[in-house]
Amino acid sequence: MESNLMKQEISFLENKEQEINVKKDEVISLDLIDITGASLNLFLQKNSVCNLRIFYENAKNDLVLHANLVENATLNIYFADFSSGDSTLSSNVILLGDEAKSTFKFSSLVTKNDTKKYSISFSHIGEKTESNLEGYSVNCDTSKLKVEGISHIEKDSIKSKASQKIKAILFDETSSAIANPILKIDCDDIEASHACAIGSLNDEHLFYLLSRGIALEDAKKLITFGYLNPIVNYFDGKTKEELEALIKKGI
Amino acid sequence: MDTLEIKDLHVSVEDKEILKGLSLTIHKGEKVALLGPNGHGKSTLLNAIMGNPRYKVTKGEILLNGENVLEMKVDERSRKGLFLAFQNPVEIPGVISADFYKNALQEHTDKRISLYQFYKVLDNASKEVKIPFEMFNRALNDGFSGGEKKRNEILQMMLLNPKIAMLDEIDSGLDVDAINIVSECINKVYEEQKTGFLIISHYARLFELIKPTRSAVIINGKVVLEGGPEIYQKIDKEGYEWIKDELNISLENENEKAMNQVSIGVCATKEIIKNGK
Repeated sequence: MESNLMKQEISFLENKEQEINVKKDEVISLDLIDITGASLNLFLQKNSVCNLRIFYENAKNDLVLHANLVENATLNIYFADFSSGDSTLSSNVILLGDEAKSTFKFSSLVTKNDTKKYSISFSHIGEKTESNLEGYSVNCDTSKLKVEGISHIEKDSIKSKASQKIKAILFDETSSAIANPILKIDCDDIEASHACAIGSLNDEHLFYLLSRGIALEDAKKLITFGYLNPIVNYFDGKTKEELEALIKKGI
Repeated sequence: MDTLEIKDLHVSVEDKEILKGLSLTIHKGEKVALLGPNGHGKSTLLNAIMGNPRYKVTKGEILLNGENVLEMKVDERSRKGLFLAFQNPVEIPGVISADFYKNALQEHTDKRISLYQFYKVLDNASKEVKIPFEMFNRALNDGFSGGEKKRNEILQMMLLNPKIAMLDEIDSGLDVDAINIVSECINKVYEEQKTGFLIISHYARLFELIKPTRSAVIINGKVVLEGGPEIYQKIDKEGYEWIKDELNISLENENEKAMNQVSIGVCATKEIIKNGK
């Protein structure tokens, strides 16, 4: 299937595989909402840009995503997971062409006894390629989060850049989060960084907010809102409104 | 008259006693310069008054207009009229400054503040501290320079209009222009509200501009000397040796060691925590 719209919402049938080819110089936005057992293959041609927005809102979700980017193509993935129930997402982006770039940003609210598993990988093959993984999660009750981020910079991918940053707040002692930001480097002339922070709410942040007269529960809400809300900026229209409502309800 | 009384206060940080029976009273309309060598308890006092959980009060009293501050939660202390401008204000990613200010302001009044009222108040305060209004759409202190963070503390003081404002090295890291802005704001709040101030600084420059009405010197975790502005002026010229000699005070060994380990402007309590001493 070739895209010919600037913006489209993809309708998946369950357990189906779809292909989308983003043509040379084309700029498109795709919205995926509540996916079950589907697989999406993206092919980004030269100088194309694809903004892929994924929103897990209801029930169980799982999606497998594969993307191949040629020269100077850009893929931005924005993933908001506020669903109830278990969910998974697997994303594999191959930066084939020189100067191909990909960003993956996610915000996740994990509650009850839900388990959410994300596997996000980038393979740098072309020269001067860039990848950026940035994720925030809020975990409550007896929920579990597992995030694996892999950035593999292959031998000839000189002057490439890879960064990973994952942060998770555990609201309850019974909730858990495991994050593995992994860098595989087979090339010398590159820049790479990874960071991971999992813990309860920062005591210094809380004290600062409390010292201005804000009650403990409201201070926690403000910090949590700060974790989850930035992803909203990448969505628009009805989806954005739904996201905002879910965040307010969630916190 | 609003009064903050501190009586025989003992405070420990990670089982090390920093304040050892400190007593001090601050009234509305006073500007008290709080002085003392590094590591003797100035910042500890301010944090203990505000209720920082890291600082454990083991004995003594803190009273605000006769009410027991130690029984109040941190947010309640703020609402009762205490304010602490932090030495190192934290950056809180994702928490938008304007949202935070509105929440804080709302907590300090029974009436509902309209968005128009809030933006008007914030706009006025931002002009006083000379921080561009647009910066308040950013995350709290995130990406702010050191000077902007300090002016942001003063802005919050102006918004919340406290009875007693405690300023912990509000001038450290500020250039001359920024010190002038901060001191003008302090003087304005003092003139208009007669707020009581408890001010820590290592530099006479700030004191020259805001003209404290009193001085108090903390050594070995106690206030050992109180008096008029002449005390901070003499300390600025001669240091602390004369106080040790006149009052026949010897610095306690461990504190003296801490003094030698830290440079001017460094909070020695943090050094103790960092070094596990």
